Amino acid sequence: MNKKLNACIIGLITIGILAFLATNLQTVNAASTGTATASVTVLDTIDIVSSYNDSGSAITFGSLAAGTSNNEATNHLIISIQPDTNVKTTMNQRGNATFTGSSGSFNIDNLTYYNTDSSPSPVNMTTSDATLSDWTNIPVPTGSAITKNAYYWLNIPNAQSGGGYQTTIYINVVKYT
Amino acid sequence: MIKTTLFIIFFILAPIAIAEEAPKYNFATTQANPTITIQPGDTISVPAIYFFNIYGNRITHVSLSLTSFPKGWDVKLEPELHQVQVNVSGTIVTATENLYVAPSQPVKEVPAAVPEDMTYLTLGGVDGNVPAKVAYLNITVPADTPLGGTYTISVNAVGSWFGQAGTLAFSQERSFDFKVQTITRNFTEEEVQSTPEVKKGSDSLIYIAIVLIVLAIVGVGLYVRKKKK
Repeated sequence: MNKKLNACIIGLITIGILAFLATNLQTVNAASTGTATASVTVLDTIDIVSSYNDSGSAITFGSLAAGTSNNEATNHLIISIQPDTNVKTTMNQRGNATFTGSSGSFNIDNLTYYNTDSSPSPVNMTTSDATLSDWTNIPVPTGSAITKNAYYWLNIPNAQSGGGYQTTIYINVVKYT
Repeated sequence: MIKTTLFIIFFILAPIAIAEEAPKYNFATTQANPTITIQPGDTISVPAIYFFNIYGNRITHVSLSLTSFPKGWDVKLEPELHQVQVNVSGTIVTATENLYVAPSQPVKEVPAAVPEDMTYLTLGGVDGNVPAKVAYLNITVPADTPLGGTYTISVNAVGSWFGQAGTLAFSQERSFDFKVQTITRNFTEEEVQSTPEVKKGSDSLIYIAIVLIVLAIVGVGLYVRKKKK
């Protein structure tokens, strides 16, 4: 009986010691792993080419009468997002406040634009950047350029003096965020 | 009758007649590292934006402006805005620009001597090295600026082209944000709070070991007590 009890006690002590050693051996045997950090900054490139569908050099409305509305330009602007562009983009457009000429001026909101001339819903040009649903979140080009179009219509106010008028529009293609 | 007055309306006059081909107006940019580090009190000059023109056939005139930067900081763009006279199809006009980018082609080998205001880029989808003009940000941060701060500098770039009669045609715009972090160049490291920690293995195994040892001791105690009786 005593021998059995002794064996039992010795066994318990042995198991306890072994368990204690095991906890410490785990620490000793833990693998030692070195780490190094690698970092890189990929630069954003946006490459845009503007041109006209008629190979011209101006958005042209020709000769118009005062008081006429929705006169479509004889050509339209083509914006190409070149394949070296590596970010999603958004295209905005705005204009100067007025068309100006030697005979006077009239407001930029007489100019409207849209991304198609087939059943268009033209948007008034303003002096603030504005986009269209088709012009935002433009994907990164893969292999070939992505092309967007801008069509223009113009109203001539009543009694506007005759003469040549011009304005400047701004195409603003930025990284989509 | 009341609407007899005729107008000639146009936005954009023809650009420089370099060639007879249809005009292509190229405004291409690569933003340099948008994160800049600087020690308060220092002045640094870092590349900010690269401009190139490999798909166009007209000279792109670039004007730059700072749209925002921290109050009290001295921030400049280089090259500075300046005026230059240009002969556009026989008409002498004045351009206001920081730099211009002439149409160019990628080259297989980067030339041994590269002008100071130029560099060559490698871009996805383009074979060879792309010649590019460089605009720099020159930044001086006040010495009392706190370390560890992050500040924003915003730059607006406008690319424009001359029309046939020497008037500016339409423009492309693009904005760029730079994050400036204030750091110290001197590396130091010291212990702020000492929290000694001896990490052992699994806690559960320790508890098991303790329980077994306690059981053994109790067993010995009971045995000795029984013996005495």
